[in-house]
Amino acid sequence: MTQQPASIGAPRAPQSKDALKTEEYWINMGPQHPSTHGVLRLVLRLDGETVLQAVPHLGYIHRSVERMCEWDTYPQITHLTDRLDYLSAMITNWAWVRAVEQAMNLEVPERGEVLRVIVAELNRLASHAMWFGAYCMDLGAASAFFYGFREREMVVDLFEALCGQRLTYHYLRIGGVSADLTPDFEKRVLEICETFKRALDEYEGLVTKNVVFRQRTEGIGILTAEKALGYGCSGPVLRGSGVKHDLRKDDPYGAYGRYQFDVPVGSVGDCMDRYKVRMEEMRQSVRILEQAIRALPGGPVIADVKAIRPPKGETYTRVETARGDMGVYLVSQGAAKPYRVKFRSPCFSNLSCFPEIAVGWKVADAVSILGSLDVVIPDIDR
Amino acid sequence: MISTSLIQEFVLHPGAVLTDTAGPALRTALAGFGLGEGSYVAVVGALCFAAMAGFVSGMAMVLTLAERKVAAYFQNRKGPNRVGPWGLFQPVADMLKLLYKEDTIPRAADKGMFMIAPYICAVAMFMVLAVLPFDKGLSVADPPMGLLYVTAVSGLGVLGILMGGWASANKYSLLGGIRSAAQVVSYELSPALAALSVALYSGTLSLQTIVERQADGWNLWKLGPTGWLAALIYLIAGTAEINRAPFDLPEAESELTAGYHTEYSGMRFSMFQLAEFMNMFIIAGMTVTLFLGGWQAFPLLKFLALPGWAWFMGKTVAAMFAIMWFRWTFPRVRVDQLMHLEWKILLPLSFLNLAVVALWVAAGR
Amino acid sequence: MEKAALVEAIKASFPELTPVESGGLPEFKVSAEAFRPLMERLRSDPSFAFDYPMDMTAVDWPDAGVITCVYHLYSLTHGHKLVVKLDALRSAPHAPTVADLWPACDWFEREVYDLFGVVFDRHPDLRRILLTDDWVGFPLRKDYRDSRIAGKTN
Repeated sequence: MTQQPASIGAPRAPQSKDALKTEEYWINMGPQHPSTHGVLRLVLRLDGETVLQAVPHLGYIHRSVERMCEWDTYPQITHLTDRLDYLSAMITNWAWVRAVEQAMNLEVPERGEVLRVIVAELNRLASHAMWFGAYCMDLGAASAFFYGFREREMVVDLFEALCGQRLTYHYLRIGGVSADLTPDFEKRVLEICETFKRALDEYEGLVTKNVVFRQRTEGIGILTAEKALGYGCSGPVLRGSGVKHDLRKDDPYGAYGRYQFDVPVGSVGDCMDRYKVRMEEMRQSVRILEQAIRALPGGPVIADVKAIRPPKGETYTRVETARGDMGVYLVSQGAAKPYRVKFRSPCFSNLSCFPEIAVGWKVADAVSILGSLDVVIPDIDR
Repeated sequence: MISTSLIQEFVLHPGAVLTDTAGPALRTALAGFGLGEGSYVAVVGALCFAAMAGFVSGMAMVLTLAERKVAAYFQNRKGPNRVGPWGLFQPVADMLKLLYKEDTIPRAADKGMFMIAPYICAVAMFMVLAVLPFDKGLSVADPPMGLLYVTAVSGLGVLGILMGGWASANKYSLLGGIRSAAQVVSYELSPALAALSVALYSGTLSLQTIVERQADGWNLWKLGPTGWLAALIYLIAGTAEINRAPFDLPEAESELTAGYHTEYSGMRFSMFQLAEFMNMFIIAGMTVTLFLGGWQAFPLLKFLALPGWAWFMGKTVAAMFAIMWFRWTFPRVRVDQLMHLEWKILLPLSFLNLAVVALWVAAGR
Repeated sequence: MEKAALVEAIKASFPELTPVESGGLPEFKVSAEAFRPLMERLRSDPSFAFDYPMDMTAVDWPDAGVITCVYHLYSLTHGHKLVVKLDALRSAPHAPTVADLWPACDWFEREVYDLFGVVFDRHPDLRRILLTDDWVGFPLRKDYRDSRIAGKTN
């Protein structure tokens, strides 16, 4: 059965004067909705089932983290960053500690850097596995949700053994990481790698080749490379549109420079491309993990740093979270607390393209597009 | 009077016992009170309704648990296993919960329509259940145009959904109700045509007769490739007709929260659920009746000497398992893709199928 | 382009601008009049090709009486970065919009308006984005006081 999704659900042509008179109406996909992945309010103007306008309302979980950063000391702020993009908490921690280390010109011991890479890639696996489950559930394949979580559970259990937490890790500290590995860590990581390789093949068979899934994702919500750049999209959203931009390769930080991995890129910029990019990213994360865990250097895991007072000045650092480029803009006056901290949230910019790419598609497609953007609302609202 | 041999006979051939023994016994009993044929019809009707209600209640309870357990095992978990061994008393717990839930009606809702809507779904379901042949002679009614009756009546349920969607005064419910109307009305056609090819082949519209004529083999293979195609179309389109995934757009949980039954709670909600589960039973039962031999044994296994209703229930359970399997595997289709599937694929295919069967029957098979 | 070359190229096109000496990213502080022409040039000129708006935020300097709008620009084509700063007076903060050049700045500028109160002239849809529409005050300003916050004074 050949599908031409473009002809079925493409943006409507303007109605002629003889067309049937229809009435538009507003519908509220409220802050509480099974598919908005957090407290996001989407107000849609519809004509029947077709979206004419989408207005996101943010701020339902705005906790003024940036203001709190002006009251907390530098180490205290690390715990706040866990709660931004909580699905990539390790990597968000890294964004912050890296900013402070850059401002202070602090060098992290080699073992600490490698451990950071390992936990970051494990976190990426867990985040993408959860995204896979949630996305399939949004589209109606509820069983895939449990499969994604079954794999994620292995990673989260490992993190629990490592740092005691299952979601908000606070494992990375200024100067390194908080604790060394548990004795069976290497064995468990290799197990996770094997499981994910097998699981990804399973997902390919169950979901990727499924006709219904392809109908719901191919050709839907096309984001061109030009628009993606203009909207400041990053991560799998930008790579799905064909732009090969990955901070781990373009601007390597930590120990990423020593590992071999590829950066998957899409071509069209539809939901299927973003999906495929994330699935392939999981395979690449497994690749990095296998290289990293087999070549662990010895030594301390954290630098011996007494007073954390970056000198007067400002710095801008970025890391690649599971969702895109997370930036930290730090302005310091030489005190124990920062003067100004701005967290550049990848999801904020990724979501900003939604009002444009959702127009003309059906309500069901709006759900599919939003899911493929993979937004975590606390990251947007800070 | 009620000897063990009678009970044995009732288990093996319930239809025959009811028609030949119980019926005349009831007639004479009523005549003893000086009551005639009219009262006999009334009493039999009441007893049939009681039997259907009992069957539906029991079956619905079993099905809710079965759905949850089947879903759980597909999802790598166990499902309800706390309330009783293997969660067997879970439906009782669910029933109690639904009974004492607060009965809310939105202020802006159209009260009359809101309250009646679930019952219309349930009534439509009962009406089709009445003609389903569970065993030889064991159906509440067997009109000579049974298939036509089923096709006509099965579409009544959409009225309930549409009423529920409109009367809820909620845009989500309205969207769900309208999607359902389009969906059910469209998906009436292909199953009807698929069933019609069976009727053409069997030469009758009566469901009992269709089953009886499958004694030498089930329609699935007697009709050859057209049989497989017709069975497949019937099962797929039937799943769409009862709003089950992958065609559960009217209650698309991830898009419309709960679609047409968003505003319903308590017993009214359980009526909608009851109608949905029993519709699943009915579609499975109809597939079994038309294509899988109904209460006829599998020809090679006739020696097992199982009663007809055991065969029927066994096959229906297998068909229901297939329907549940669809739900927990496939993503949901979009509403226009759903229409595309019916109008551009299933309907032309079933027309073609019907034409081939017609030519074949006309040529003397 | 390397940092020095970039700075030289921009100075060549806009001689009135002076780069800020800093050990980090190349930085320019511009006045409101020079701002739009500079940004348009940075966007459209293929040798600069700043196609990616990395970040846009603001910092409140009450002692200096300004709110500095900070723009972090990045060029994916060439790989160079640039920081542009624009001072807006605290008493009546205004700045020209760049939402037409980079659609991402639409929401970035709304956030700066929401939290600092900087009004962006000719912005397509300037309204609060994170706080409720009827919020009074601009929380990230240093002099923002809210009786509901217990114990914090700075």
